[in-house]
Order: sequence, then C-alpha cells, then structure tokens
Amino acid sequence: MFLIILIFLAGIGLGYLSRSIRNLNLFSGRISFLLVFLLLFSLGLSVGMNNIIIDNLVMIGLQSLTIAIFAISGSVILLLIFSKLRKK
Amino acid sequence: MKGSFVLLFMFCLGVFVGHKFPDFFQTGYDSGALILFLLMFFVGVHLGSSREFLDILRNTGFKIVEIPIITISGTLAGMLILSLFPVDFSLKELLAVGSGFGYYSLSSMIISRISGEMLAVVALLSNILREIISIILTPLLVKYFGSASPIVSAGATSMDTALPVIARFAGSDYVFPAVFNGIVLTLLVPFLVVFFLNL
Repeated sequence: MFLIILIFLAGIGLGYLSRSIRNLNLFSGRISFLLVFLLLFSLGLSVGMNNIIIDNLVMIGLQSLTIAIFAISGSVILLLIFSKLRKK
Repeated sequence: MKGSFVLLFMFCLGVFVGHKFPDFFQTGYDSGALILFLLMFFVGVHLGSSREFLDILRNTGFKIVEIPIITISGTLAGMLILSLFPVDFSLKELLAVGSGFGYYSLSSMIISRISGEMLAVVALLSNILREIISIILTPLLVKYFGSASPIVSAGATSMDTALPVIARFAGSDYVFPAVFNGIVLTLLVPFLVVFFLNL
C-alpha cells in the first residue's frame, strides 16, 4: 500500500511543476470530488452488504462519536497547555 | 459543508442499495483500487498546484507551523488516552482513524483498502463528526478557548468547510493560519494513516 503514497507524491510533484497551467487547481479539485463521490457510494455498497456492520451500526456510531470527541479535545487541550506555557 | 452532505448522502444511498439488492454487486470485479489510485493522484495534483502553501509560509514565517504541530500531537495524544479505555479498537487503529483529522473521504478510502470496511466506516463517521462538531462549536471554542482553538479542532477541514465560520468568529487574522493548518494536515493524512496501519 506504499504505492498509494508514491502515487500521491507523483501527483504533488506533477501538480507543482505544472502549476502554471490555468485552472489545473480547480480542475483537479473537481475530479477528486467526483472520485470521492464514486468511492463513497461503493464503500456504502459493501457496508450495506455486510450484516455485521449493519447490525452494529448504533454501536459503531457511538464509538465514532467518542473518537471524534477525544480527537477534538486532545488538540484543544494541547493548544491551551501550549499557550499557558508561553505566557509564563 | 453542502458538499459533505452530498457525499454523506451518496454513502447512505450505497448502504441502502447494497443492503436491499446485495446480489447485483457481488460480481467479484474490483475497480475500487484503481479509483483510489486516481483519487490519490488528483488530490496530489490539487495540493501541488495550489499556490497558497508557499505564499503563506513566505509571508508569515515559520511560527505558523506551530498550529499544525499542535493539531497533530493533540489528536494523537487524544487517541492514546482513548486507547486506555475499554474500546473495540487497537491503539494503531485509533491512531490511523484519528490521523484523518476530519478529512473523512481520503482517510476512510485508504483504510478500507488496508483494513477493511469496519474500520473504514469508523474513520468515515468519526471524521465527519469531527468536521461537523468543529463547525457547530466554533463560536463557543473561540469564546472559551481562544481564537486558534477552532483551527486545531477542525483539523484538515480548517482550510475549506470550516474556514467560513472560523473567519467569522475568530477574525480575519486567523484565516491564513487556518488555511495553512488545513493544507499541512491534508498533505500528511495519507502518510500518517498508512504509517500507523503498518505499525
């Protein structure tokens, strides 16, 4: 799966080198959105066919909410610690 | 934010169709990998061709990198603490999911390739929730925790979907740091997700 990273880096390099092409930024953003559109639909399909996930959707939702809350709190609390230290 | 709802709707539509008509799609042909590679490429081109990153760095100096560093370390620390509680996921799975930083589409797609649908759904939902909660809480975050707090909370989405509310409630001084934070995190999402899943 390091191929994913290589392809990503190739995209960045190529994008940087050809950044003078007009609308390349806009165009690549739109294509990405379209591809995400397709991928999310296909992820939805495989999730819909997976009864283990469907039967546990509420539990999965609650766990996801917990993860989101911990991620947000972690960042905000570290920011507060950081700014307190700076003031001293 | 409208785009997010469109994408969420697509996902739900997929779940519905897949659940009701499972026989139509069990053909065994897998085009998902190719689409993911195309997506990685075009997201790369999009980031590489954006001028904002270097412009902001040039105009504001290196002090601006503090915010993305805090976002990343804070999120990962949060995941570390969460792993001490009885949860269904291992530390490396939590770190990978947290490394989406709100960028739910890319992170969940990479995770679905490497770890399967279950963790991908968790990545999708938790990162969408991070985006939505950050946007909704921005006025409160600014009031109680300072103007930079909605930026670290929004993570990678501080440069697009969360930017309008951040600009409004934190003030225009925080637009550049927000965009910069978003670009840095978006760049790092694929690296960190792949890294943590391979631990």
